[in-house]
Amino acid sequence: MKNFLVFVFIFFSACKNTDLNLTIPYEGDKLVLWGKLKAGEPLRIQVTKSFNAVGVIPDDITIPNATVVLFKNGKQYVTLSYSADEAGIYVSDSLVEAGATYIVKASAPTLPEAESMPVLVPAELPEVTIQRTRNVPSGIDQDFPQDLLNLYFTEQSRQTEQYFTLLLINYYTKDTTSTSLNGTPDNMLVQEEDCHTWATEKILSPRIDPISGLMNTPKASVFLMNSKCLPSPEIPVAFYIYSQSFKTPPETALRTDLKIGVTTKEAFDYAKLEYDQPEGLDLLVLPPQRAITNIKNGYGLISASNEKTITIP
Amino acid sequence: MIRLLLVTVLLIFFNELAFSQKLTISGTVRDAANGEILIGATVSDSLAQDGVQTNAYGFFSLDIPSKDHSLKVSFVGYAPVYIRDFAQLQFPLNIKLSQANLLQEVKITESKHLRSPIGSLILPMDKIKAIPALLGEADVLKALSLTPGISTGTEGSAGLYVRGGTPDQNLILLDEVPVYNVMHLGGFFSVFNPSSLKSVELYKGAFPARYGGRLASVINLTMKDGNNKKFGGEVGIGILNQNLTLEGPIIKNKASFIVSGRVSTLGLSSLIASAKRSGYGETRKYNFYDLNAKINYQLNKTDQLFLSFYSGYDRFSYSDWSATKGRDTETTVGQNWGNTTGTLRYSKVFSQKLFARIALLYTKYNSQFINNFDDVNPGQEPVNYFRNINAGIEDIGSKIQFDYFPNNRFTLKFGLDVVRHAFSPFATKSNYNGFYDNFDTGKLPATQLDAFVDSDIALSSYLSLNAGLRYSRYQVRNRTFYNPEPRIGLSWNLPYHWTLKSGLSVMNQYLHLLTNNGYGFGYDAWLPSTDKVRPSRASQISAGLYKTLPKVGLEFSLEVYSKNMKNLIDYPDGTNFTGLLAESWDEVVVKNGIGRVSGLEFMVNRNLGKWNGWISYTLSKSERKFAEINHGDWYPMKYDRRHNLSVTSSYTIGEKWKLSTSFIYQTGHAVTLPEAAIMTENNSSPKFIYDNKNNGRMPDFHRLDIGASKALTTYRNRKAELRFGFYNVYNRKNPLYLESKNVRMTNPVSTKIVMKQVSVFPILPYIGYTLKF
Repeated sequence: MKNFLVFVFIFFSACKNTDLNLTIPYEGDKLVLWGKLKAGEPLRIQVTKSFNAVGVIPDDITIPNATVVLFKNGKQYVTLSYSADEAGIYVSDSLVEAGATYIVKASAPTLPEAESMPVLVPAELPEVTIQRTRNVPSGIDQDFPQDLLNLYFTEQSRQTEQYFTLLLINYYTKDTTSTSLNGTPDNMLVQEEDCHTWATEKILSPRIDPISGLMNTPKASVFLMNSKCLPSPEIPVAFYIYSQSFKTPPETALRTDLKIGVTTKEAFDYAKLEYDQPEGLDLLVLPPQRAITNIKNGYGLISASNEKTITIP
Repeated sequence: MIRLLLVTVLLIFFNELAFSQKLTISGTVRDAANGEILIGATVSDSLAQDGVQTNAYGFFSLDIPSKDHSLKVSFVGYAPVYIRDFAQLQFPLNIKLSQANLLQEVKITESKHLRSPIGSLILPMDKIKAIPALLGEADVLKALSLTPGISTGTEGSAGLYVRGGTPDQNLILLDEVPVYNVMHLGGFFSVFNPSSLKSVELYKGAFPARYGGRLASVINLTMKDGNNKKFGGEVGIGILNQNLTLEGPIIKNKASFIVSGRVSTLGLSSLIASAKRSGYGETRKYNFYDLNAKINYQLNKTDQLFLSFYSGYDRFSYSDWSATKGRDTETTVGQNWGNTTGTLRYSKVFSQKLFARIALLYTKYNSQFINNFDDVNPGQEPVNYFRNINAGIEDIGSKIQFDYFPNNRFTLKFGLDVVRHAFSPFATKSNYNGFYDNFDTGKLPATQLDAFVDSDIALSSYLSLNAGLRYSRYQVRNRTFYNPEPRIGLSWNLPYHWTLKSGLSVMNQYLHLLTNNGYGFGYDAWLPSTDKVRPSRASQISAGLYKTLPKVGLEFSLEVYSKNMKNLIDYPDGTNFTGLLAESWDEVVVKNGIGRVSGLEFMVNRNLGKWNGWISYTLSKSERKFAEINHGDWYPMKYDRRHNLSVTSSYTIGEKWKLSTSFIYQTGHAVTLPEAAIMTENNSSPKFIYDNKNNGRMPDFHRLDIGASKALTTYRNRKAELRFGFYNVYNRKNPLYLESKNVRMTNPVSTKIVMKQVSVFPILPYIGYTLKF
């Protein structure tokens, strides 16, 4: 026993972190294009530049003098203008059309011209029936009341390979927050690593938090899944969700909305790569994964989605 | 080439007829004190300077021109024995050698270089035990990594990378049966308990044709037979492991047994783990054990029976539990991995010139991933969901080999190997809704049949040829592969103790390992070649120059080699093992990879006197190429190390003390570094862009270990040994892995990305005690 304690002490007191000077290859700055083309919403693309993976992060990586042109179905469609409100963002009032294919091309002085691969905005939305059971006794965390959310997808939804997104938002009297989707133990889709992943998405513009009084940007956890992994229509994809806030005293949400949509494969693959990217001790056994990008001569990702919002009964 | 060989063989037989007055002497060489068979002992005609070595069963056959000649039998560490007056003796002889006194110098008059194939090595167990080791745990595989052409992975790992190969490309045999998992506890040490082992042989160049099935090396470990004279044993106490070995005669001088067990001190961790009580908690459990056992029975002067057994398993589990308001829930993930092997061998001396052995083999490797959820809630049906995945392999096989010794200039070994594999490629047992259950039906059988013939031919008194052919037939599903494997080795003894050697070998490998990069935390999956994943193949050419200075006990070797591999597999980045399915694994993996390795190896070895040891240096380059990885370009293998230097030495002081030291220097291994960083809207910290695989290097690795041992005599004259020392004496912070951190700077205010290395093992003292009885 004494030996064991000595060993544990030595082993865990032994881990040392030391700064390292390594030669890291850097080809120079390139344009980074970032954006999700949401069907029915105005165009919005972030244009920045890359920087060296080691050293001081540049104060400003925005490119206010870029020319950002959008091509729709193979033809030049619109030139985006630099946003007066958000740094690094190029916008247009034109709405994204479901079923259309877009290409983003950007150029800026001293940087190589970057161009996205064609991105097809999904035209169809998944058909789903929702059943909610409030205050279920089983759950992943017994200290907080939870609801069971059963989602029944139609047979048609799993006919072709698509990538669905699920995002839940709770509305309270003074606040709007996202709530997690926790897969139930018999949720096959959630158990199967290759069938799902998670991503983070901004749901509101930066604002002063009504609870803490601090400035923040509300973000939501998005569940992404491959339609090929969906069970047959009579078997639900089941989640536990919180319908109460975590403040004291807890407040029950006035309304819970499910934003369900279809996104592009690149967005799913990118989210999966980022979610699975090894960190810390994992780096010992797993190599970092190659970055996913659909930008030629640059970095970033232009994806597309088509979403609808359902208020959960 | 074949015509030349036939002519040579005919000449040798003609020569045999011409000198028909000769006398054939055969026998077995054993240790006089305990009856252990001595493998590789030299038996020579002291007048004709002609000699042979004992085989794995201690047997030899030697022709001498007349009965006037005397026979010399020698073995390193033993006093030589001279035999004359053969008229009085009955064959086969039973020759016993006594261990030399510690201070008695054993002169080396003949180098092993002359007889062993290029790229081969025998490492004595006493040398392995003397090398200072991490936490004092002597380790066979780590000792081998201090020899040329072999490196380990990250610090502490016992996985061997031989001549640019990967750990799965090593055929590791324990009493002739393959051991698939060779590592405990994240690779910190191997499953081979040094207390139970007798000898270690390594082949990495010109492989004898009797070995096959792997691309990089053959490591042949032989367990002790057990003392057939008297009962005894040893007990060892160390920081990480405790071990106990018992051995003794079952029938004196005829039959003996040995049982050796080893348990991990970490197994006690469950005793101090927090007990499950109300609230929430986490429980971690880890333990492992090794058990070796062997019985041998000498039926008569010509027949002997051996029964060997090994079992060793690691068990790790992590559970996250809660117990509130009468309701208990527990989610457990765990990994169990390990081997069970068994061998029944029978050897027979048919005549003075023909020796045969037959073996029945069994080996099983399990690699299980366990996932379990329990929910016990009063008034409700208990809920249990589980999902167990196994990626194991189970072999049943047989080997038969004949050793034929027509004369001193020609030895022929031939035989057959047959193995029936049963793979469980990600066989799943689960009650999750919708999961299939193929645990019992998901086994994939494969059959391998190999025939081999291996010849050692002395073309002249200076030139010898080792020519062999192995022909393998492998069947899986409805596909059968046939592959010839030629092996050729030439040895030319030059004046002044110089030797020149060369070798050519072709190897096939029908098994593939999908691994977590060799760090040994279980869940390594052995998978068969199939119609989609073809057998891997390697061809290697090597040449070497050797020099011996017998008076000072020095041996020098310089070897160069070039190796090409094809049909290698890897897995795509981000592939999750547990997500691989039995039906689809061979579609998911990246196939048809090729590899190229070249290197130069130098070694100087001193076996004589109070001070001995070796210096080893390797210059090598190992690369891989897959169409789907790294844009289809060549990239360095992860553990490609350009320079690898090690110095190992020991010094005996008086009769009791022995000092030992080992130093190792290796070029840092290849690592994938980010090529740029970007910021995205959804993340407040930088995202790294990784592109080319293994585009950078870790800092160089070097370390010095020192140790000392003192021989003690305890109560009732029992022998004991106290060992102590320091691992990483100058406290070098060798990197285990790299990670990046964002550091806030104040002047000027900014954020800086820095690369940090994480190191684990600082200077570590060790102490161990072994008592023999």
